[in-house]
Parts: sequence; C-alpha cells; structure tokens
Amino acid sequence: MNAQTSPGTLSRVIEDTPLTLSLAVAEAAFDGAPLTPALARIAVAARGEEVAIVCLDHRTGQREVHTLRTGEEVLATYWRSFASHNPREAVWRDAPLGIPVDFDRHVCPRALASGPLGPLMRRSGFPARHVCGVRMPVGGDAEIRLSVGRNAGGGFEPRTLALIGALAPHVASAFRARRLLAPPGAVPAPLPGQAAIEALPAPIALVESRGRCVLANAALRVLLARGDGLRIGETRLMATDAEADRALAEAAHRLLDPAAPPSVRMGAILVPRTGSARPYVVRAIALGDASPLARGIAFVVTAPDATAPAPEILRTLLGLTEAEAKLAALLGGGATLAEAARARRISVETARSQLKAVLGKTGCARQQDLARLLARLGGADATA
Amino acid sequence: MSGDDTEPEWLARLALAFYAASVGQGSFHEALDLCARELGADTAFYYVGRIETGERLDLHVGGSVTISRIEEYNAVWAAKNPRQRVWVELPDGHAVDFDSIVPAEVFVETEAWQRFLRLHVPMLHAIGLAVTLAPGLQARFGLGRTEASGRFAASARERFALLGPHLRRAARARLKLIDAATDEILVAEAIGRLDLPIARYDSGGRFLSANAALARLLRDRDGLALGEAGLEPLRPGDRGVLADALRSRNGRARLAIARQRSLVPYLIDLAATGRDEVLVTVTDPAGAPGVGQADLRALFGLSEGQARLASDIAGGLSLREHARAAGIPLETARSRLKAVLARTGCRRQAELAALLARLPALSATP
Repeated sequence: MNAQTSPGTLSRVIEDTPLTLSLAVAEAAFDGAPLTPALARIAVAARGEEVAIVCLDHRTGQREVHTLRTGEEVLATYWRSFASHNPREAVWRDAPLGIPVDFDRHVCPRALASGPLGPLMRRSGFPARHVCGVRMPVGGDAEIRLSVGRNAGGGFEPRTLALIGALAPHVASAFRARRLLAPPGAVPAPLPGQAAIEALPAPIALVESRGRCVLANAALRVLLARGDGLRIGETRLMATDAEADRALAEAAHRLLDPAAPPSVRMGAILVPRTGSARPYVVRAIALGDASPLARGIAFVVTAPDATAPAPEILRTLLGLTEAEAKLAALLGGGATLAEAARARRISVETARSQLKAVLGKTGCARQQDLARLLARLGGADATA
Repeated sequence: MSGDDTEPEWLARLALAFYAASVGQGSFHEALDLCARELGADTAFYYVGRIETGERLDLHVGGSVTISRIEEYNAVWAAKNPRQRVWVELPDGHAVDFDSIVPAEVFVETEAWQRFLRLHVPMLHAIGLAVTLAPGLQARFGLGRTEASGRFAASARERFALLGPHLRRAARARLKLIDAATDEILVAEAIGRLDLPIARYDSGGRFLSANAALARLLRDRDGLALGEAGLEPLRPGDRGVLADALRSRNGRARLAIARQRSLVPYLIDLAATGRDEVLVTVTDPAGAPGVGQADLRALFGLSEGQARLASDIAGGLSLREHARAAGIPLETARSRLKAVLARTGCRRQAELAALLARLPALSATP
C-alpha cells in the first residue's frame, strides 16, 4: 500500500487532464490492477500529498481502501480507534453525491489537530490536515469516497475541487466495474437464487442461450454421478441414448429459438438408463425474455424409481404402529401384499388386517391410493 | 514512468465513454457516436458475434445508420456480404481497413451493396476491430464512411488500433455483466416456473418470496395457507414449530402440518442455502398427480384410451370405476390396463399408480 514514488520526482511530457487521470484509474480498475500509479498522478495534478479512494458497502459493511501513502497499519488504527472521533465522518455522510466538498469549511483543521485525532495525525500524517473529497454511488448500497489531502500548503484551491469533481463519475464507473468483475474476496459469491436452486431437492441444470451452463445443482450431480444415461455437456444436458440425446438437442434448440411462439415453452423427454431402472423424465423449460442474451433453459430431471419410504417416517407422519409402518414400507417398495407378508413372516390374513388399519389411518380407499401416497413419501425421503 | 504512457486526451475521452457504457453508466450508442466523430466516420457499430452461427448479440449502432433493418441484414444479406467473412479471420485486437481486403470498386458490384447496404447501411468504406471474448465469441467494432466521404485515412485506422485495448476491456466487462444479469433472470425464472412448491426465507426467519406452485397448492387453506408473511399454519402450535425451525439454522429439517380435509399431513422441508437463506419446499403426499393424459401419450406412446385409463388409475379410480366412467366393458379395460402396464414397465396396477404419482406435471404451465 505504501507508494515509494514521490509525486515530485515524476516528470511528464504531457500534462495530465481529468480525462487522462480518469482513464488511468479505469484501466487499473477494469484489470483489477493496483491503483497506486493512478493515485500518484492524481496527487500531482491535485497538488495533494495523499489521495484516497474508499469504497464502502453499506449493506455488508465491507470497506475497500486505496491510498497513495498511508499504510495498512495506520489505516487499521484509524478505523479501529479514531474514525468515530473524526467529525469529518459526519460531513461525509451528509455530503451530496457528486459535489466536491472542502472539508476545511466544515471542520476547522486546527481544531481537528488539537482534538482526539491529534496524536495519530502527528505520528502518521493521516488524516491530512487539509482535505477535500467527493462521494459517488457505485451500485447496490455502495459508494466511493475520493479524497485528496495535504498537511502543508494550506487549504485546497477551487481547481483541486473542480478536478476531483470531474474525476468522480469516471472513478465511480471504474469501481462499479471493479466490484462487478472482481468482487474483493476472490471467488464471486453465488447469487441468492443460485444457492436456493443448489439446495432444491429437484435435480436441475440451467443453461443460457450462449450455451454457458449456469449451474447443475447438488441433486442433479448425484444423478449424474451414477453415470447411467445422463451427463452434462458443454451447452446442455445430454443423454447416452442416441435417440433421447437427439430429442434433448431438439428441445434445447426449439426452446431457445426467439421466433418460437410463447406457447411452446416446455418439452419432456424420456431418457433410458443403463440396466433395468426406469427411464429418467427430463423436462426442458424455456426461461427468460425476448432478448437473446437473457434466454435460457432449465432442465429438470425426475427419476421415477420406486424407493421404499423409511418406516420411521411413516410412523411419525402418519401415526402408524411399528408393524404397520414396516408393512407399508414394503408395499411402498413395490411388494404385493403376499410378498410383504412373507417378508414380514406374518400370515396374509394378518397383513390384510394391518393394511386395513393403514388405509384407515391414511384415508386411502384402496391399496392403489396407498401406493400413490407411499410413492410420494419414498421420493421425498430419498432427497431429504 | 515517462510521459509517453499518458494517453492523449481524445483517446481518454473515447475509452472512458466505452468503459462507462460497459458498466451501464452510459450508452454504447453515445460512445459509438463519439468514436465516429473523433475518427471522421459517418457510421459506427458494435456487436457480439457468434462465429459458428453468425448470430449477432447485443448490437449497438451510432452515426447515420438505423437498427431497424438489422434483422433483414442478418437473415438475408450478411451471408452475401464479402466483407462480413473478414471478421472471422481477424486477429484479436487488430484493426483492419476493409477497403484493403475487399476494395470499394469490387464491393459496389456486390448484390449486398446494391440491394441493401447502399440504402440502409451506407458504409462503402470501413475499418474494423475485433476482440475475442470467449472461444467462438467475438466482439466487433466497425466504423464506416459513405461514398461521398471517401476512404479512411491511414491515421484513422492507427488511432482505431490505439483504442483496441480499451475496447477489449469494455467488451469483456460488458459480457461478464450481461452474464451476471442473465444468471439472475434465469435463476429467478427457474424458481418461479418450477412445479415444486417453494418459499424462500432469510436466515432470520423473514419471508422473502413464494412461487406460483406454492400459491396453487395452498389455495384451499387446508391447515396451511400462504399469506403476506409467508407460510401460515392454521394451528397456533404448528405456527410456533415452523417459526422455530426457520430460525434454527440447522442444515435440514422436516415438519408435518396436519390438515382438516385429509388424514395425510403436508410435509415442509427446510434447507439452509449457505447464502443467509432458508429454502422451504412443501409437499402434499396425497395430492392428485400432476401428470396429464397428453403427457402420458407423449411420454409412453399411449393411445387415447390407454392414456385415459392411466390417468384415471393415477387419480385413484378402480379399474371397474374407470370402465364405467369410460363406458367400456370391464374386459376391454382389463386388456387396456395390460397394454399400459407393458408400455410403462409396471407389473401391477398399484405399481402403475405409484409411478404416475412420481411423475411431474409436464405440459401444465399456468
């Protein structure tokens, strides 16, 4: 953070202007590069000793600070122990957006130096005795504060205020880009909605119209890991079975076609699996609007295997006895009453009377209704 | 650091205009206008081209050209424009004078010029610059001059080339931002359009949103309703249990909410998403199956009669009841059932009912 370059040693053939300075900030910000060289040039043009850009996110409380000279330790000390005693902080809060403020007009520099901030100012030169600054919104609940400071030479001239006023909109654009392109903290956090889809029990993949896979959620990754007929390709969900894969490709193509009528918003495809398991049912749902850059498809997979619900769930949810729950679980797994009776080592008669009790407790008229109910509970259980 | 790396004023102005446009602070139209004026052009355009399909995304124009004819150009004339093919070959960040590849005197003879470009995009002389954004995806900037204005000076192409690194940054930034915006739209739509009933809460237990499927499921207010504050169990005891579960921050939890009109309770599943959010899904295990007759015909190749039988079985009718409702002899129903079982890979009627219960609604998109 500490810049070794002294503004006085810079010799420039071409004089910097607000535009060339703004460009220097923008280039560094878009590239995610250090801002120090640009800040040094601003310091020369603004006749300041220190230039600071503070990006504050009021929602997360995050603070990103770029300074020309002041080191991280001094900044940390300032934010920890001194900021709350600095009357300039209140001036910042009230400052109109985009209008440069001469802080000397609001807080007497002499009074500031003799107040609680005095020791830090004398020791580190920060905060500077004379400061002018401007704040700008940068999207969300965030703002940037661009300020120039100096300890010698008295208050700033109007030309410095005019300069930072001219820089402000460009610096704000640059920080919008910096925040959006490379949010501080490396890996971009998933959108809240993305995290929600990740947690959904239904297996889902989202792709957008340029073929980028936006996400394949945890439930889908479990299915894909089986490797029994489905995989995720570069641009869509793919099937091992050639015919099903053609159907998936067709659906993807049709749903992304901007000329397609809005009624054609969904397609369903059976994807055969290796072995004797029931085929997956893949639904392709068109998402997005008419703009070709904001269209996509959700592939939603259903695996209609028969999974027996856990007897424990049947007992707690439906109030079955242990014997009834065990019998129902077997029936839910696809057994006939005779098979279930054999497995439970009870007579078919006993099984029938237990089944009757189960039907009564679940409000089912016949075994077929119970099968339907158990199928749902089994599926729900498998994803929990 | 020497003075040489200070960008001249004109370049800074143009570059900043594109940077601002790329983050939504200005418009590409203004930046292109500015660029055309500065480099002595009559027209300017920017778009992202997909090399494989020739599709144009995110098109912007400046100067004396209108965007209204672009669809016609894309559909008919792009393929017939010999200069269009030059783009694909252009090295990244390289500025090219199209006149040096397809000279104006050759270009005026082409059908594309005579029947379309001359009238709607009158850039007889053109310079261009391409930036590779991703494999197969190219951002293309073009400037044009009319026949009357004449060819671009060599200095215009050189100045355009100086703008190259800035255009690359702006184009890449723009695409990333579009990606982020697209993801947000798609994710929100996906949740909204799923037939799985979903509600979202923040980690403090405050209701955020619910999708249409949840509103549909709870329309009857049978033990559980959807209000402005989210899920509202009608029994006060259940209300407290739900509120506690929402705030508990445990990874996953499941609750059962008793109903008046069914012995089988609703199931409420809670999952923390890791983004200060709790995802809540509601299931009605005894609910009517969502799969419709048309879906069954499409999925399993059932005939109309077979689909009706399967649908009735799924809805809880016995074979006898189905036969009576469909006005067919029981024997016919029985043989139809056999055919349906064969087509769906089921051994018994109960298994068929279970399978159909697990199938989602396919064509119903209210």
